[in-house]
Amino acid sequence: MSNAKQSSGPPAIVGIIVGAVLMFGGFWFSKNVKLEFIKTLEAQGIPLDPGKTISIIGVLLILFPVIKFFFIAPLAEAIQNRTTELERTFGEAENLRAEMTQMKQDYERRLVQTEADAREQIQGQIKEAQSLRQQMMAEAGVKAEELKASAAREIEAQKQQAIAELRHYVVELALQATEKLVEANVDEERNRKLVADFLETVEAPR
Amino acid sequence: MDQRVAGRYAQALFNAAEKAGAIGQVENDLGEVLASIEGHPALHAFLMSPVSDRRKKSELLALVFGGSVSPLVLQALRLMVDKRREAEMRPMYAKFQDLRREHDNVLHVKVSSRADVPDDVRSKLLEKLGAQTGKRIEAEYELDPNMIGGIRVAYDNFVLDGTVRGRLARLRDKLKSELRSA
Repeated sequence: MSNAKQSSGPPAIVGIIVGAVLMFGGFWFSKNVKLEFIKTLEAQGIPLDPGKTISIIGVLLILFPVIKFFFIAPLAEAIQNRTTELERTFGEAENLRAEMTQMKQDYERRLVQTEADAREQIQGQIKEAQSLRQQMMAEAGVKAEELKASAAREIEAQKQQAIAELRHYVVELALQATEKLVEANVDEERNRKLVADFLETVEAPR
Repeated sequence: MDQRVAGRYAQALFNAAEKAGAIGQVENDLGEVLASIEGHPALHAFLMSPVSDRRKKSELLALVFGGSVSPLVLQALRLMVDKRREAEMRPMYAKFQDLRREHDNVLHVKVSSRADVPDDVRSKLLEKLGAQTGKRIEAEYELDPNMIGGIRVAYDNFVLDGTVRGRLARLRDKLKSELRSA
């Protein structure tokens, strides 16, 4: 409606006034003025009445602003609104599209970045795992060596213990055999000599 | 058995005997009385029984040993019966011997051997031990058939081991010690 009001050209009231003048003037002219060529034309079968024509033009001039005011202007406004709405909608759609494009680009960029980060992390994890594997293998090797050395020490200790036990056993056997031999060979004379030796060497504590 | 109780009775009897100048006689009488009692199971059982009457035990002692042992010994034994200390008689005798040995500066030694120790060896042993300990030696000899040979002398907390088995044991200890340190 504002577009109708802002339209260029003479104001609508001028058209209405002119239309009313023409309508009433034409009506008056049609009733009161009978021109010669009009009579000639009627006689020839052409009923032309310029007054009515002028009156109709005046009516049209009156109707035109009315139609413009009550029909064309709202219609134009509706069309304009619709156009504006469509433009806004298209604008928004365009913005959304641009935004989506931007988001898509961002997403793709982030996807690329994420993939790169993931690759980097995977590579890092692989390197870390390899490092850990090497460290564990080294530790296992060291532990295996320690166990081996410990086992060797234990074997050596057990060997020494077995040798010592064997020596003790041999000593025990030898002394038992000696005891048997001595027991079989100690007679009265030897016993007397043993006692005599004891008497010679004995030291009695006070 | 309470050694302290036996010690107190022994000390009292020893003091009385010393005062009477009859330590040796009291010791001998006491030994004979105990040997007699232990040699007669019925007498021993009667005296040691807790259910036997104390007065009868005392009267029996007086009746059996009254005229043959020192009055000190009889009095001491009757006192122990009255106090129900019959079981302390043998320990009291041992304590009395200890007191007498201490009084006379005597060292009691136990000599173990496989065979009888000849008199010359005995005298030589007593002489040497007496010289080394500074005491008069009182020896108790016993035969040990488990011995191989040699002689062993024990007194107080000491053992002088001159037996073959002892020498072998020392040799065994020495060899094992050397093996351990090797």
